Amino acid sequence: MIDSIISVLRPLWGVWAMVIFVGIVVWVYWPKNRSKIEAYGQIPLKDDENEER
Amino acid sequence: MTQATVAQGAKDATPYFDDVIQKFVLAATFWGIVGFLAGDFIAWQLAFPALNLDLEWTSFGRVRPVHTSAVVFAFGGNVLFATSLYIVQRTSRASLWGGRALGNFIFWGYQLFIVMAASGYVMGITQGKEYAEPEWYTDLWLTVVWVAYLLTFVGTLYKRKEPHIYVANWFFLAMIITIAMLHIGNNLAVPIALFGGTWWKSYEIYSGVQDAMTQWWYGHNAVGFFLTAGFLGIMYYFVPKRAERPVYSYRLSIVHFWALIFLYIWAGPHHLHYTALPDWAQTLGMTFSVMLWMPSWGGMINGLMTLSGAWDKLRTDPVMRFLVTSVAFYGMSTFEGPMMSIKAVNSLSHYTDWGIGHVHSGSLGWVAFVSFGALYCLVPTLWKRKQLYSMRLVSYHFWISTVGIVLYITAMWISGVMQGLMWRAYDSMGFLQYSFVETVAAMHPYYIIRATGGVLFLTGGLIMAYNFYRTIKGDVRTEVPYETPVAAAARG
Repeated sequence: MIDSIISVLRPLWGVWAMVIFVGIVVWVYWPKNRSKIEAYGQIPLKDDENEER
Repeated sequence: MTQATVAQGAKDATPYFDDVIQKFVLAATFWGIVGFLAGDFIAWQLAFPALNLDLEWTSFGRVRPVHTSAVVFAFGGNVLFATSLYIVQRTSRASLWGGRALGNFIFWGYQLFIVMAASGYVMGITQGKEYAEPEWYTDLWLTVVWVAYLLTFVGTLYKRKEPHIYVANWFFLAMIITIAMLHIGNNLAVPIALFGGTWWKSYEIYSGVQDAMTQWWYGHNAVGFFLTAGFLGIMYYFVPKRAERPVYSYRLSIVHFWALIFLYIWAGPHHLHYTALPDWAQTLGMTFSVMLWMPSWGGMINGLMTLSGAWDKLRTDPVMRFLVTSVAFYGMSTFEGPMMSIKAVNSLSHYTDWGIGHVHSGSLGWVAFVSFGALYCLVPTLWKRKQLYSMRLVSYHFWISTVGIVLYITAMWISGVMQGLMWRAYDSMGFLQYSFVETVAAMHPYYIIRATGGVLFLTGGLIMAYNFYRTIKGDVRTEVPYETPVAAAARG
């Protein structure tokens, strides 16, 4: 049973890859995630040359 | 005037293993000069064949892989080690996993790999696969060093005190993993010593079109992941850092990353248009190559727009000029590449100098310029100097190299298109209009222009090396301040 499902789904890997990619784009541009994700851009600017934190 | 003594106290305070990074920076500078010199030498050989000195060790076929490996793996590789290990420590706020010892092992191990590879080439030891010339024993050694690099990088990420892994590190990690996969996949070979042959020679397990496809799966992704993803990691750290503002859109950077990862690996077949490779595979390669144009330009826009509101830095900061120009070249060559991968265009451009022009607009304009920008940022920081020895010299380097690149790529465009047109020209009787040697003779002036461009690019590299030497010594050149007082005040 599982074997036959896998054999149907396996050739469709391109579709799954596309679904994953579209999922990433939707998640990234979901309005609620905006401020959280854009805040990560500050990481290089707040690193202290001499201090591990 | 010296800054060296003042700086010594501060140097001991850093918790990061910067002495390892210093070595990579010096090695990158050294190998860069060697690679540019080797390239220009063979460029002059093409214009004046007598320059091969009639010796097997200095013939074009042997020095050419010395040039490509020196610039891609020795210069580019050391820049990637320096920047990735610098950035992963800073953005993770953690010191290198494995510490100084493992860092030094990676450094010396990688330099040994370079020497093993290059000494083999001049003696005629080669697999004959482009960008994968090293024989089996060198390949095995590189695998050991590369795994150590992967462990250091992932270990440092694992130790991180910053919850989020900054996007530059994603690009570096993708580079490290993919290069490991490509290197092993493309170098599966059987040493003939196992069957009583000579010790250094091996044969690939693939043959025919499978070998060709594996080679260009490797070859194009060496471009895609080593020369693109890795150097995008540099862009995503040093452009925001130098501009003192966050990247234009962090969300776009995530999409840029995943789009490149999903698309790049399929583009290799465009190197094998109109060959024995099945037509569907050629079309697949072409389609993915054309699709790559979109994320590439997304990334370019992200890099350039980071400067919005700070465009004056282009005028006041020559280091910023290197970084921004590199991103512009990235945009230009990632437009040219997809265009050349279209079969109809490829039928004209393939096997001509146009390909060489395209590669050098990417490698000189994008890879080398973003590297120079990063190195100019790194040297004062790593050696605890307040500033570079001279900003004027940075500016001279920039303009001399830029003119060099323009001479190079325009000469190769004209020469390549001319070559392609001459090859396909028929006369009224249906015969080929030109013999091959006529096309070679027609290219002679362009070869001289190209080699002259190379001299300029090499000169720029030497200026940079001198600037580093004086900076590290602690000198500051007395010169009219490059930046306007307003700009300097704004930066604090």
